[in-house]
Amino acid sequence: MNERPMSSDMPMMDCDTAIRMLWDFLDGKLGPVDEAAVREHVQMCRHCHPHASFGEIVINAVAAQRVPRVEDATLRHRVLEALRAEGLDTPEST
Amino acid sequence: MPDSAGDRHRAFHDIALRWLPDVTRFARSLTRDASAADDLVQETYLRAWRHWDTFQDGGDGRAWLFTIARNAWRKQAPRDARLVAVDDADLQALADGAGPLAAPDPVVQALARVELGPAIRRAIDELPESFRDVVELVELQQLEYAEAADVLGVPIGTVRSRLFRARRLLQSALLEHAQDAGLVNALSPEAP
Repeated sequence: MNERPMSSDMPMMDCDTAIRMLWDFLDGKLGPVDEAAVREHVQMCRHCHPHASFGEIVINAVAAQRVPRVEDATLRHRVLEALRAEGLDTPEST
Repeated sequence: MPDSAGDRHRAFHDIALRWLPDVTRFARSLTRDASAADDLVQETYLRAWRHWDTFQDGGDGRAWLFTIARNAWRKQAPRDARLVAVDDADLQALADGAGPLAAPDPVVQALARVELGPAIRRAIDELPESFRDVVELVELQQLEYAEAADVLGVPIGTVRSRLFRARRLLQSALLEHAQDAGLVNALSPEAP
C-alpha cells in the first residue's frame, strides 16, 4: 500500500511518471503500490485522465479483434497432404 | 530408443497441428494475403516436421511454430514486402515516457459509442510490419512479452516499446476515423 498522505487537490504522483506508467497500468502489469498510485493520480488529474480514457479505448478496440479459433478445413487437408508426402503418418483420413 | 516412430508422428500431430488456426492467423498477419498465407502455413508445417526432433518436450509449440513461420516468411518474401527497418534505439527513446495520447472527453465518449471494428482492423493492417507483428502476437494471440520476444528475436524491451508505439499510431488512426466519420470536429491529438 502507498502510505503517503493524500491531498484532496494534488496528485501524489507527478504527471510525467504517471504518463510513463500508464500503458502498464492499463495492461494490469504494475505492482500494487504503483498501480494504486497511478490510479489515484489518474482519477484526480485533469491532464492525465484523458490519456487514460483514450488509452483504454484503443486497448479495448484491439482486444475486441481477438477472434475465436476457427479451423480452415481446406487448409488443414492441404497441410496434412503435404506432410504425408514428407512421411508423416497421421490418424486423420482425408 | 524409448519413443517409437509412431509416437513421434502422433506427438507432431497432437502438438503441432492443434495450433493450425493460430499459425494461419499469424501467417495472414505477416503476408496480408490469404493465398500467400496458406502457402506460408504449409511451408511452416513442413519445416516444423523436418525439424521436429529439435522441438523441446514441454516447450511452447505455438511460439515455436510462429518463429518458424516468421523465419520462412522473411526468407521467401520479396524484399520490398518485408520489414522496413526500424531503429530500435530511436524507438525505445520514443516509447520511453510515451504514454497514451489524450483525447477530449466528447471524443472518447463518441468513440466508446460507435463500432470501431472496421476502423481498428484497417489501422492494424496499415501499421508498419514490426509494429503489426507485436500487436498480432501480444494483443491478438495474447503471448507474453517474453514469448513474443523469442518469436521476433528481439529483446523484451523492444517488444514493449514497439507495442506502446503501435498503440499510439492506432490512437492517431482512431482520431482520424472520428473526424472522417463526423463524430467530432477537427482536433489535434495532445501529446504528453
